[in-house]
Amino acid sequence: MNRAPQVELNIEQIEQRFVNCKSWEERYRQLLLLSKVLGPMDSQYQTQENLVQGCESDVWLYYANTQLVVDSNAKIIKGLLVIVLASFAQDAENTQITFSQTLEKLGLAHHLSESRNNGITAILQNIAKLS
Amino acid sequence: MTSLKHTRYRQFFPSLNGTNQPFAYLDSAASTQVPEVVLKDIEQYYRQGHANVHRASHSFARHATNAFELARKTLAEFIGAKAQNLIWTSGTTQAANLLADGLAHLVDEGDEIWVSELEHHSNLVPWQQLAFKRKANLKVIPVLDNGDIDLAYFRQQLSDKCKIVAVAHVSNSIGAMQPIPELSRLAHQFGAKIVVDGAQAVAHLDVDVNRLACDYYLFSGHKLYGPTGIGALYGSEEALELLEPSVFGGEMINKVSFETSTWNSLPYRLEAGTPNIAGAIGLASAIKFLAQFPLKERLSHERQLLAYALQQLKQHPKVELVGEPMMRVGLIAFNLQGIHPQDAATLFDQYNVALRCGHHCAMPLSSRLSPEGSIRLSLGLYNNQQDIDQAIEAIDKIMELFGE
Repeated sequence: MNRAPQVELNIEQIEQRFVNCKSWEERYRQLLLLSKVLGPMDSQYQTQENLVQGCESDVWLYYANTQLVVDSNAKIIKGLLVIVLASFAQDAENTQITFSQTLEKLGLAHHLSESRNNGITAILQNIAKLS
Repeated sequence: MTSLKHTRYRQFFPSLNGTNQPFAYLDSAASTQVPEVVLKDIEQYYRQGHANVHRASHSFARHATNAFELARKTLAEFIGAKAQNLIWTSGTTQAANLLADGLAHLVDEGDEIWVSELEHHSNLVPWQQLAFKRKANLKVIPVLDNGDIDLAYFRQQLSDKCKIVAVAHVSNSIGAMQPIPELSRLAHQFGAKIVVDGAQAVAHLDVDVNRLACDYYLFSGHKLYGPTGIGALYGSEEALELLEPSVFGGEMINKVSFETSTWNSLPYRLEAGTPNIAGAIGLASAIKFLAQFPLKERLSHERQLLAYALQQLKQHPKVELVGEPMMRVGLIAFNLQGIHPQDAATLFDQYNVALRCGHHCAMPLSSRLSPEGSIRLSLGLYNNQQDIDQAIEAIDKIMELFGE
């Protein structure tokens, strides 16, 4: 099975999108727009098995043929997942570091990185196990 | 005087004063803020000399024991009980577990334990585990579409196979008040014991265990303007005698040899280990804080504010209420059209509005009424109209941000 990457944006392109943001509202609006980049996951993969533990929203993750596929039913999380995928694409082994640094640069780190309930931490832990 | 716009209670809570930006704390169902006097009383207890209770005869110990037992009396009277009928626990969850263990001997294979569909996990899982252990059946009183329990179904299904009925006084996720006196009457008709989880009720209702006619009533201090790690289990005399201890050591012991041990009298028989003395004193201090205000005024302030919030939310075109119970206490659950509750909660936080999202530790109810979860707005004494208005404004801004 050969499929295109789920998201083609790289970290630099993502950062570009946030350059002109002046308020936190604008940053969140960009994050919401980013969520639209992430195509929906095939519903056959939205299984209990692929559901990541510990989220107030649902987050799914599976990995097949060196391809990482993720999805969430919450938009802010989806936006963050786009950043996770771009971090993963850049250097799989350093996904977590790139992700945190990017959040910091985008001005989103303060509120989002500390939340343990949103599933991002669990996603990053699962990715760390893969690489 | 207190009104919707100004509450005279707020000034007593240091965490809600002194910031530049107004912070709308609307998550009191999870935990209430603590008034200054409670903080002071806890500190003073340690400052004046802390000692273990019921042990030594020196003055620190005498002081600690007196304060601890006076706190028990204060808390017991608050719910219309006698001091000896009140067991200190670390909170509602521990009390429910103490009961599920202590009443295990009442339940045999094929017996029934009844809970309602709106229980939160703390008053569900201990009973489920007890049912597994004793090969009993866990039975569920279903919830109607509006969030009230189906009392008619329960009346029809209840039989003398039922040994325990465990229900919440007020649901922590939709605020529905349960008809406890009627449930007690039904349970007792079939010889069952009734356990009432009062965690979400004690701060918002005039609770009198005699009127409720329940066997056990449990609640936590941290939802009652007190500290965390302290709570209580009330039981009628006969009901407490029935409880077998499941935690051993400390003050609950009478005599011990290597062959056998005997237990202390009630309430100590059920209080193993060193208790949370400062917590008990802090909780009693919170009760005294509440008692300085006329009960009618306190409850009416909250009821009016809840009615205002409900009216505002109902009028909002993008708000979908989750559950519309006949008797609503302290909180409202809702969703914003097309927006996942977690997205909403993240943004509420940005607007300095503290709300809770998710399943509110009541997953079965959530899957019945609102599978993706919901947003919960819950009130405390300190809230005023401004807090509600701030939440409504935040809803408008969130909808705008989502462009829907």
